[in-house]
Amino acid sequence: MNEYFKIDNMGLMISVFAMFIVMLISSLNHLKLSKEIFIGTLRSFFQLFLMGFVLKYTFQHSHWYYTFSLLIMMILFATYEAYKRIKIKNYQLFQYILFALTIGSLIPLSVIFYLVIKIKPWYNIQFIIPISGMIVANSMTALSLGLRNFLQEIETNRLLIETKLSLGATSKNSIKPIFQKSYYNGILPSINSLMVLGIAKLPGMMTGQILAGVSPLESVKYQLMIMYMISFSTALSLLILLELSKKIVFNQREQIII
Amino acid sequence: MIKLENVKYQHQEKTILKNVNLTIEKGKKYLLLGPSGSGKTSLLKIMNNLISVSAGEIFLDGKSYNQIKPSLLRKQISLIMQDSILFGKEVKDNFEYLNSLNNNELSEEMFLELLDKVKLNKDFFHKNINKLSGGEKQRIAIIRTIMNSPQFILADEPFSALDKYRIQILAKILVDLVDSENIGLVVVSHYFDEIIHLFDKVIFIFKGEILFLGTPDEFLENKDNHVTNFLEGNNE
Repeated sequence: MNEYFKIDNMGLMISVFAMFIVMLISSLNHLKLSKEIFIGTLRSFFQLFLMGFVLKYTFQHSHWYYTFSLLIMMILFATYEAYKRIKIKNYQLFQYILFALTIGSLIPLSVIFYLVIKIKPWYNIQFIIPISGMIVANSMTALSLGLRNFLQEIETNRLLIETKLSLGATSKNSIKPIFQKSYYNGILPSINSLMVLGIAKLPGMMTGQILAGVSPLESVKYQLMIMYMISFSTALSLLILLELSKKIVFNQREQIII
Repeated sequence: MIKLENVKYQHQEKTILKNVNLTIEKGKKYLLLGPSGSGKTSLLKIMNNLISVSAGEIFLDGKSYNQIKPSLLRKQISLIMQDSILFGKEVKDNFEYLNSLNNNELSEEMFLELLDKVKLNKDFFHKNINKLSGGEKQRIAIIRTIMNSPQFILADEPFSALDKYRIQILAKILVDLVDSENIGLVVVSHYFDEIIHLFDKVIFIFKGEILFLGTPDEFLENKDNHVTNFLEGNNE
């Protein structure tokens, strides 16, 4: 029963061909997405294979500095991706995203590897990189969503904020509803995905493990662990980022500066 | 007392205010006049510390603004902005917000009394803010500011939504309210003909500089070209 079926090159090409059908649908409906779909397909193909070769090499030559370097690259790349989606270009903001993502990821990852899975050695790349990837990617999405929402709401509600400030509200008080709304919007996707787990979908990690022949009950444990830790990482990194982002919005005299 | 010394304000390389030396005394009422773009709103925002000066200093009762926590400063020198927004869904939400800024020590009774003083029925307390007229909204904004117990109220075009008749009524209400609480008042108003004598002093600002500070009668008799041009333009 626990058989593992490999995908041959022909099988992979058939999957890639499905993306050409997606491009065709986009083109027939004049969606102007064909270029993005083509680039996305190409990028994902080469990026994943590149990652696959790197991982294959590092699995065979496991050293702590390979794991560490890959982790750093992952966090830097995710930071850049989150920063790219924000309208305001400010180096301080980039630093805040980097800090929030680093702390927000490293704490849950430390819990996973020291207390939950208890892997040895700590730099066991077979576990660290896939799990870290999921944590970092989900946090990146939440940060991007939450921060974009936060800055847009500040811009839209500038007069309301100034009215509150002009009556003696602190900067923190003047943006409290915006802060809460942005935080809510940022973490909602991860909470919503908990609701449909096992009903609307069989999640990726569990699917991958089952396909590889792991017992379903064991894969459930892994999946639950990763989902809860993703929520933890999202909640933590978003809180850190939104708190830091107030420094982009207000100066020391509690005046709006964006 | 608010004291501005050699204040200069620049924004995006443009000088908005320069060489501003001004003293605003508690309990006195000032009418701030000047052509559009002369720096009136910027001056009020600087006094409320919503923006900072580029040069010079401002003091409240002898203490530099930079030594006073911004939220405390703005509570003492509150600003009614030109397009002041009311909070929440109902008028009472504005009371509740003010109350939260004042450690929940404010009295709903006082708010209702102020409603009465501004000639609004007590039922307005539960009224939907989207159903208020421009003048009613401005009256609520005034009450909201007075509830803060500031030493000074700065008002940027508080009568802009009103006709001449209602401007006179609301101006009188505002002046009576600040007189009863010994609050210093600075009002910017595009329309001032019938209300100028409600004020103790007139400040005239032109291209960022204060050209006149004196009584209403002295202002109306002033021979400075900029003042006379302004008065003539206002009479057209």
